Amino acid sequence: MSNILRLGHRLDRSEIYGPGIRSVFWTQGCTLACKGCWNTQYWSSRGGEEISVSQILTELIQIQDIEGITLLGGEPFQQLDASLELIKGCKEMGLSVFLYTGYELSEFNEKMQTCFHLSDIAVTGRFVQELRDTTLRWRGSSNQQVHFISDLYNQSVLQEQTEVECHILPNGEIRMVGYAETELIEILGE
Amino acid sequence: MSGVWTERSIPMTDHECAVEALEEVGATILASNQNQIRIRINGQEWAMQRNHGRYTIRVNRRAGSALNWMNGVGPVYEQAVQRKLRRLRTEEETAQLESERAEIQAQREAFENQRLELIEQRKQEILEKAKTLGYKVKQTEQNGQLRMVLVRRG
Repeated sequence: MSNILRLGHRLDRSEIYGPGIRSVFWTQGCTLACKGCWNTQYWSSRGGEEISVSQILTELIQIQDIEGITLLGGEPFQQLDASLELIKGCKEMGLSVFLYTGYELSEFNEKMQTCFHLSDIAVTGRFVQELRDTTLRWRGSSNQQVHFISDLYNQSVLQEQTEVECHILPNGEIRMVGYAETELIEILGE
Repeated sequence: MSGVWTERSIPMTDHECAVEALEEVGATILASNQNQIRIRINGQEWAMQRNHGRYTIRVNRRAGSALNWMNGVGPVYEQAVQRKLRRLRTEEETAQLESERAEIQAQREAFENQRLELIEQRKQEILEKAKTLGYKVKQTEQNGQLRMVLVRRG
């Protein structure tokens, strides 16, 4: 039976969470509670929506032109069985996996290590507000480490830059993700 | 760490549908015209002003959970829009007189154009702000959704 993943948010296609176009999944629930976290709405383990991993994999087949998935949160490792099943399923489909976790390598248990080694790229470590740097690609603070785990990608894809993505939906609604400064976020003001 | 920012409600561009949606989530309409809708909901009064083609509420951040009712407005507004669109299409198809048909067609087109104008206006707003902040912007349109990637180096 497939594991259930609680998701806070998802994007079918994004270009700023790893190489190429990727489907991005924000897991719901995180107890690490980094000071200054931008995604506190994903801390509670009761919010978001539940979906089976098998359903996600079925939906991923329908999304053309994606290179892989990116799993972030929340904290993917606090839904370890579901995260592992999703990572394995994506690899079997030929999709690359970019994994974010707030845990350090030294804190990994066996299952976390399996998730890590099955991924192609991972960013590890807590967000540290004092080390916040929005000019870094794919991470929010300078202590966070980017690991190129498989041979699929290497350091050459990591050109440091600030990235923000705005999606304007057919109904005129804007969704913004990335490393936006206040002036940009104000566009969403009510 | 990156952020995710979403709007509390989808933008409401049409007065008739906005009123319908607000009433459906339990609001009492106190006064309403094309420029403003004043409502009472959960014992509090709010004024929605039409700015840049959509109805918005100006509040201070302390409003917090008092605005939770807005979370439910989006889906019902969307349903009201689809209902109105269906009605206008049916009326257009069944109109007996050519002049009547032309009038309803113009109404329907104006209704649909409100959203297109809003999308264009919001796109321009993002482009202008991005330019001011030194970003380069790449735009991709897919399934009616516009994706704008803002990148700044150095």
